[in-house]
Amino acid sequence: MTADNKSAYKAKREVKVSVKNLTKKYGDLLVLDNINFDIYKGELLCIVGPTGCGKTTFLNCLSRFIPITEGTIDVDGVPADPHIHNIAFVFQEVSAIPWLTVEDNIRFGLRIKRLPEDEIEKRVERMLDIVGLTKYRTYYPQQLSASMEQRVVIARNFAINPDLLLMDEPYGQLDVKLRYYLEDELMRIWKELGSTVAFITHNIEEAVYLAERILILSPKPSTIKEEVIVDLPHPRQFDDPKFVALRDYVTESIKWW
Amino acid sequence: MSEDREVKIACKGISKTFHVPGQKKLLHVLNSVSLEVYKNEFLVILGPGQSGKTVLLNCIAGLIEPTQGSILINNKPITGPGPDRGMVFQRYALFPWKTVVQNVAFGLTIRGVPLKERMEVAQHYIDLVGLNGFEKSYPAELSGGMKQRVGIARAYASDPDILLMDEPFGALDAQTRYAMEKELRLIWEKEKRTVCFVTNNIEEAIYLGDRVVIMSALPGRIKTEHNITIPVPRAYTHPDFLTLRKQISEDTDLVL
Amino acid sequence: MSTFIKKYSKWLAPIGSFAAFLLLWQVASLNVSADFLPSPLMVWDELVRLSQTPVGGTSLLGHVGYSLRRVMIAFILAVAFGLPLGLLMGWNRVCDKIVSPIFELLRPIPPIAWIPIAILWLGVAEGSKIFICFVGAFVIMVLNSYTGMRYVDPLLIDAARSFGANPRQQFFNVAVPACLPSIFAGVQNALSMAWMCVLAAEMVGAREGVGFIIIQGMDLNKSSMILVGMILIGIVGSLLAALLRGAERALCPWRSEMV
Repeated sequence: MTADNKSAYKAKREVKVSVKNLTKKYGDLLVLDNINFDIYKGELLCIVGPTGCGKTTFLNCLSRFIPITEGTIDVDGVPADPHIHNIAFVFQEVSAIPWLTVEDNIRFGLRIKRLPEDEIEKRVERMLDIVGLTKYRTYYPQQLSASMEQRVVIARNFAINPDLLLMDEPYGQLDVKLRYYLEDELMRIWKELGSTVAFITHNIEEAVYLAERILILSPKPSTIKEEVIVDLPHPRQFDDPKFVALRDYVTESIKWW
Repeated sequence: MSEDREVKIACKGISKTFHVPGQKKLLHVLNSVSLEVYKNEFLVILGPGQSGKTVLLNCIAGLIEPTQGSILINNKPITGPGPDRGMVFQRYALFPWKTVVQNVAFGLTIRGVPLKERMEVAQHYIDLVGLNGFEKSYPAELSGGMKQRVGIARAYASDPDILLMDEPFGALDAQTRYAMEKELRLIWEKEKRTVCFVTNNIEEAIYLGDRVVIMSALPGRIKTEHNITIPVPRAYTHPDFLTLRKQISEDTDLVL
Repeated sequence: MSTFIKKYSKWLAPIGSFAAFLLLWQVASLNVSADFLPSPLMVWDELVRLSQTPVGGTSLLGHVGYSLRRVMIAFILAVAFGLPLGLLMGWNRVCDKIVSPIFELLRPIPPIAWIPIAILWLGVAEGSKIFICFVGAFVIMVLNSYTGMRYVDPLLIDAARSFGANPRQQFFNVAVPACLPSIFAGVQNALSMAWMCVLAAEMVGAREGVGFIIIQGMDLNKSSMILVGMILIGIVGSLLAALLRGAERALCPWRSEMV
């Protein structure tokens, strides 16, 4: 949380995504106000904010679903372009393709990217292994539980090695024990593949558990209120005093403005 | 200490199996569950995603009949749903064509209570849950947290002895959830009823409950229970809270 | 300029498309004989002429009135019988099992196919015409009410039950209001259908009605008259639909919020 902390963190890192002066207005209503931040290559960044902070708008802007009023988003130094860059998403509502089997779901994104067949097969095998769904490869999403379906979506998104993976509370509705299990799995995948992940959540404990760095959004009109480096070793324990202190700190930050 | 308290709900050997359409096997959801709930106790039934806890609650509510076993409310067997039990649903189940005050007064309308009295009672509970000013709004105009407050007011307004709550905050985001948990505890302290609260969230269970009963994965049975002795108001990050949370986490099953 | 466009864009599109349509029509009519496709101007002249001189002893508005009367009677009967039947079939499994097979058999038979038997049973007077419109509207009303009822969220019924509502209360206090959007859709479709059937019905030896104007036009070889009739059908039909939509907005305020 100190300035030294932050510069030490950033010194060794390469910028992957650079957001400058991001502003979004709906008519006269200012939702996002001059947001500036960088996402570093291979980082697991968490973004938290109070309820109603324009989180969805923020996400949609990052993913280029909606036009930005002002500001720029650069990936690898050039403006973000859907033809060159891959930005993948995992939403809270599970969106596995219902008419494809688990393995075909994973193949789907890879085929769209027109990768060579043998590379596709290699990646499908690897992803199935990492998420532990090899046994279920020929199942259809309806035959799986909600958490398993969510893992199919995660596998599909990680398989294409996206420039940036945006995740919007993918585990929101699941019970806490399952959530921790899946979060551990997420971190395993992330570490193995070295993907750049931006994980957006209202759940502060989740953010402290997962993140290397946390960005705190203010209420509408949202700006980046604060940036917190999470310098705790893995595996993290929710009852570790340092963990608790950090969690309390972020909670207070969000509550008070 | 709990032996000399009045037993409001007594479930003995509740089992429930379902026929799954298109499959030969039966689905065993509840496996001989026995449970007692004491008067004015805030009981939490905690279990992983699939543990039959909602089915158990629906049996107590009288919406489903158990395949085996008996349920006594105030020492009398139940014959279906009744005004002695009010229910709060995870997906709110508010009637979209009714305003907030009409929703809250629903239980009284069904019982034929006269208009003036209904409206007074409804107003009292609308005030209790902090929705003063929203009487004439429609559910579609309200946020998730507000909708659930209507749900709680509606359950309270029909004046039941027992409140049954089925993961009422499950659809809300983490921060709204914390706020609602705090409010619910405050509301309950003001107007105590016997509460059966179902959840899959351990923090919520410890924060709200006087006693937490832990259910296993399917087929559901009661694994263990914990009396929560942490003084109220409870803090989620207090060391005692966290220790208990770790303990309970070890007691719950992981269902993938 | 762009602010002008933004301000009036709501009107520019429909006016623009009508103007384009009329232009196309005019251009097309120049290349063919007046009998094949009269120009918009000719049709307008005919409309003016017809509104001044009675056709077959009745004024133009009178004809519209006759058609409307038949449609409204058929429509009201269709709703009065179709709505309760559809709702009951949707609510009660036994009723469903008994009535559905017969209904499914009669349903694909188009109203037009009922014309000969309608004449046989009810003669060529008002009765048979109303009957045709009724058949079309009735089927639609039953279907929409039935589907609406089947798709009522069971959670709402459970909620009602948990408060001690008996089946009668569940039906009237919860199920029926929950179906109102479907019921309204059914009512709107039924009215449209009845109005569409009125032409076919009036071909059965009518001496009044919009359909009659079209038949007259055919007999007298006046295409402009046919087109006037068709346009009248279109105008009245869309006005009726707009009226019903207005009624729905007034009666279902919660629904407008959600839309």
